[in-house]
Amino acid sequence: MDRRWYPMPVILMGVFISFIAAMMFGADSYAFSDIWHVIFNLDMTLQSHQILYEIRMPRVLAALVAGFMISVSGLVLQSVTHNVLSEPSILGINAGANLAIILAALIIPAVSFAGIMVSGFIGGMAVGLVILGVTRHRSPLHLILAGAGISLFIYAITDFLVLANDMGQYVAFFTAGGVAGQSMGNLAIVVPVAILLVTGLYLMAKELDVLLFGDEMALSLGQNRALYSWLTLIIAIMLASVAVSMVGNVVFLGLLVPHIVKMIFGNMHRFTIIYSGLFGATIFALSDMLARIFNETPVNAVIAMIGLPFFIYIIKKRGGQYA
Amino acid sequence: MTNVTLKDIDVELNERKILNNINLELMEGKVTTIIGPNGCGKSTMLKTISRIISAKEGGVYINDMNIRQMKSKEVAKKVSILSQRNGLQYDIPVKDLVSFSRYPHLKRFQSLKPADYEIIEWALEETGAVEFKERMMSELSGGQAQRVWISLLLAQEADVLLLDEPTTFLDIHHQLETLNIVKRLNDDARQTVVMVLHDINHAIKYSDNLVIMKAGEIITTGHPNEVLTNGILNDVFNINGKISIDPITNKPILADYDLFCETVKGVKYGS
Repeated sequence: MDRRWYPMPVILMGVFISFIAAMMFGADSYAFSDIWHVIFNLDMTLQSHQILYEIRMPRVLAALVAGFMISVSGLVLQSVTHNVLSEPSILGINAGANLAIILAALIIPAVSFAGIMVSGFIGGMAVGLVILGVTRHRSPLHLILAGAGISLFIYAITDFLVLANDMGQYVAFFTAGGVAGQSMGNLAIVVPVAILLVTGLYLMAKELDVLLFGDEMALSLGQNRALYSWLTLIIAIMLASVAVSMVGNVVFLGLLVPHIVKMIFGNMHRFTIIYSGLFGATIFALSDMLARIFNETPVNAVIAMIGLPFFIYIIKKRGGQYA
Repeated sequence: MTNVTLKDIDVELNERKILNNINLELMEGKVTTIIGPNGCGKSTMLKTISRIISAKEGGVYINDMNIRQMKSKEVAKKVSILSQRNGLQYDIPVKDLVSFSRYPHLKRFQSLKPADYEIIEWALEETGAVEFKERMMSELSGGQAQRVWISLLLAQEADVLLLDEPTTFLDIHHQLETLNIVKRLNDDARQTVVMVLHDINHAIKYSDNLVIMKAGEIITTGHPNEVLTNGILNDVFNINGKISIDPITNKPILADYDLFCETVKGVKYGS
């Protein structure tokens, strides 16, 4: 077996520990034995079990799942666009999904979560493709400029709609990002979708490897570049949009995690897809735990606080390679 | 065996004509070297054969099939190319880079099988790159990296190998080492080799056939003994060459060369 799989048991253990920790600590803390009982012999007559099972567990699981999805999406977007700065929020996927979800809620006031998910995907795809189209064959800087500009424009429209229709309460969490107010029902929809999409990407790991190493490599090996670029891009945008429908506008995670993973494990996608997902899940769940401990701080702020030191280290260490 | 024929090929890049009416049949199992001045279309010709660049007119035929009508992976199984400047934007372990060579042989969603790993190992051994297969590409010297790239070419198991300036950026020792590997592979496996080289003596020494190009056209082709004359050097490279016969190989050798009476910075050359 490839030695890059050796750390896997440790990392899976880390994901499990972060799940337990995120269950235990928060606004109120619970003992490990409480968590154990909630998982293995749930007693809904107990108030603590009710809170843990109905409020905290969906929230922690949503953080794990969304962290996984956003990080894998960021990784694939970076590879396919040949741009180290690509990530869902820079590509306008968050802004687009956000606007489409607001529109959906305006048109159908009692829109279901599946409806939110689908409209999020349509919006994320539309804006993501516009920004990618504008910056095609351009430098990372162009992507940042177009992404920031178009995202701001989309957010302006969203804000206008929200204020004009008095929906402030409804959208507050989308714009800030966060995993409060999750339900097991939402997860039952998102998890199968996530598994399907990530499996699809994993099956195309070798295509992503060849795509990453450039057009000439792809052509000389006989790859159908257009087909696999589009397929992987669409799946990556779907992953991010579905995550946004669930946890709102989470930024930086999709940029940070793939860079950490690539620094440790290199560039081959059969490793980076899995590790990005697991690292992203852990970092998001722990960030949300800290957010809860610190009085519901926005989770974006916590991710930035945890992530920035790593990121500066990577820039210092690998800056030259990305020039 | 794989027969490759170029028929009436015109190539334009950015509306500038790069190749003009190229007709050529590659000699099966032999080493062909393309020489010619900078910008004469040598690299473009290799890229056209390997489908990286598409011809405006005419076509490349592999066993009488136009490559535009073939599946990309089928072309990649027949023809492999080592590009001129294999700068890697991303770092990668040697063995993973060489594993890309198996891509054309894999079906959709299929990953490498034990047989593929054996071929990769064989290719690394053939070029002597096996000793650093666990290292990263960024840690290798130019000569070592070139051996890895040639392993990639080999493991692709194509009948036709195209090498675009395989010796550029290498010192003389590593130039000869690279060319010796290519020659040995051609001797052993009878693969068709087509190279672009700048060093005329290397081209003579390692080739069965020379293709001499100028301004997008083939001026002449043939065995080095036949085609390499002072007149050709004058016409194609605009140099004053002195060709002797190597007493050991009986092949021609470019013993001395200079520019024709030209004044550079006030110093008179070649008079």
